[in-house]
Amino acid sequence: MSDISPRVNSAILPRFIGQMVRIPCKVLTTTDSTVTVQTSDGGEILVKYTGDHGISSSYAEIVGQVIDQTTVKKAAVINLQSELDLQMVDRVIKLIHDPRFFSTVFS
Amino acid sequence: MTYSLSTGICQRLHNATPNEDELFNGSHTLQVLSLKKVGKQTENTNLPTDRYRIVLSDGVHFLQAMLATQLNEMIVEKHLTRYSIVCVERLSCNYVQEKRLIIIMALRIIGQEDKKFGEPVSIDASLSEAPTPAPERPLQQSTFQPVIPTAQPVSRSLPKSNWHPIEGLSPYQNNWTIKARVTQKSELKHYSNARGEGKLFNVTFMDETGEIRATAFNQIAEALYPRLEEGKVYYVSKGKVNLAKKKFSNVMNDFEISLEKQAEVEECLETTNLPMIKYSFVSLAELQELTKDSTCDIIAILKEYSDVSEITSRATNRTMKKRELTLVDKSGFSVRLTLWGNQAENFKPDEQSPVIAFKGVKVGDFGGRSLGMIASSTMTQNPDIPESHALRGWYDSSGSGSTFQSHNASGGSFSGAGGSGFNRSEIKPLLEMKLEANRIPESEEKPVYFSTRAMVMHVRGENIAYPACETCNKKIVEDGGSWRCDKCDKTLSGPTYRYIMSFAVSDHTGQLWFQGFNDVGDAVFGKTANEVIEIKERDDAQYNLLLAKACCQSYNFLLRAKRDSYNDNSRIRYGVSRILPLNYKEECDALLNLMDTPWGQQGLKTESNNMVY
Repeated sequence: MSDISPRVNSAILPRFIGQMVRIPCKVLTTTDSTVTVQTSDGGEILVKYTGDHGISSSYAEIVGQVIDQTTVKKAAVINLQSELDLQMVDRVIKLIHDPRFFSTVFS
Repeated sequence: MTYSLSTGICQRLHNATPNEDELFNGSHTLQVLSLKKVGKQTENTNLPTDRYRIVLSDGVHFLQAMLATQLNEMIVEKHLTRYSIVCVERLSCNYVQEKRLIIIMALRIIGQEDKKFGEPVSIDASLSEAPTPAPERPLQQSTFQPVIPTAQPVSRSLPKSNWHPIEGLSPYQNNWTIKARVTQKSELKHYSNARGEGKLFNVTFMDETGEIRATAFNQIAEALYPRLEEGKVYYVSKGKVNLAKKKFSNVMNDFEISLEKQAEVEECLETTNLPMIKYSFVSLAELQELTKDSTCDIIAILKEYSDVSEITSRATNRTMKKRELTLVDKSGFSVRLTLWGNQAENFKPDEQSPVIAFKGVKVGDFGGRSLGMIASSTMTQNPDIPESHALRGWYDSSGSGSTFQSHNASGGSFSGAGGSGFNRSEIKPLLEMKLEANRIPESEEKPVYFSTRAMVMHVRGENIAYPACETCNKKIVEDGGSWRCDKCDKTLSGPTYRYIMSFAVSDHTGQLWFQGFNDVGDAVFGKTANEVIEIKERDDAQYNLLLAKACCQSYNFLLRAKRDSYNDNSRIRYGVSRILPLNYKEECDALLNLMDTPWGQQGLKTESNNMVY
């Protein structure tokens, strides 16, 4: 169970406090120790990191542990490109977490 | 009750000229002497197309007239009967050759009587109830000379007052005359069959009620061919009405006319009340909705046209002349229409970019959607109808500058249903396609099209391309130092290779082998066939690497599945008609939409047999 990091948006994130998740997102602002990102449903999440944030594109997928409803501690970054249809991503995320599918397919 | 009939009216009407409005619109009191239904004898039914001949008397004379069909109900309801006294309020007079035909447009019933008044005599001295067996032909004037000699030597007068509607023609009644326009005339065709040789031509006659095909053979054909002209209106009678041979005609009628020795054809010179060609136009954008091989009517601007070219039909080995027209209309679409034979050769536009209306053209799927003329199609330049004027206005003001899309939209997108388009809604996984294709019976000659998405797993390295002629793509042979194309009779210095590949594809349901041509190779390797052949000959290892790199790529395919039989075995061969690299965003959208369908709303079944996609 702990090896799996399901993709989430800002609404679904709170269900996974203490667990690893994946967030496809748009990078908004960066500071020394945090990155603010926009999730696929338009919410904003704070990503805490140490060392190098490793983000080099406008869109990325952040893998990390959920600290609280709006904060995630980064474990890894996958850089995507400069275009990503977040609306489409959101539709997929909603489907992933559909009760029909989630427990059988995604966990 | 006594009535006062408008004495002298019959005389006046008999001698009336077209502009005697007050005569036609005034009220005249007359007595009905007789009423008779004319045309197809429908004894116990009352059709809206029934026409009644009415004889009206003013006490001194009587004359014949036709009752406008909107008044039929009066007769049906028995308000209007023999000996009724009526007030005729409006009538019209048609002048046909030298005869008058009076049509009663409006009348009012004043009263009923049980006998006729006075001793009226016929206004037309030579008018008499014709002794012919057909009751609906009363106007026989022996002095009347037909303007054009008929097909047979005896000149007979033709009744003009009560022509039969084409819709009412049947084999059971031979005494009809139709007044119709020739909307289409074929060429004088020669044929030879087991019984000998002959010639024939056919025409399509059309009036307000419908259309019917007519055919003439041999001598009659020779005599009638120059006399019947497309676009003109004729009175036709004494043809033989038979069951239609649908194989030879697209015309909507269960019957057709055989013009034999006794048939009579006379040109109609009257310029009013002529049947006009009825169109039901579709816009070029709507062509997509029509199925292949259906017919339609269109009206469009001729944007450009090709020269006449000659092609050889693979099937019959005969050469045919053709010409391509490019048509555009307000819907923003363009389409190609093919003319054949003499029509192709003789085509000449009336002006720069004329409006052309087409009736009964066949819909094809070449290049998405295409149109072609068939024997029963008609083409009219700049017709005098409102749609034509509208198109002219549109084109002259803005249309000529705009760009148009064709139904075969640019590569990479998915054109609609049918042969030349990848059909997303019909996409099937390999297993399902295999099962369906194997159900194609042996007898099925035409290929069946499928759409699928699969991943290339292996490309056969042997014989990946062949040397081809640049112009015709046929295989060329090396002869000494140069290459020769048999078909074009050309000698080329070097061959242009074209791909011919056998490759295996897979998806989550199974694996199949597909056959592809040049476009497949281009998509899969990203190099020209010439380059690939060069690598193959030069460096084996690099060639194998190239083949391997082609694998694990997914594409959308449009396939032609055809049953091939060798000796006892019969197999389905899948030829790639189109190969389309995936646009992941589009595919994703499609899959998401699939989840929104009722199928997608189902729950997961652990043991499912239907969830193949």
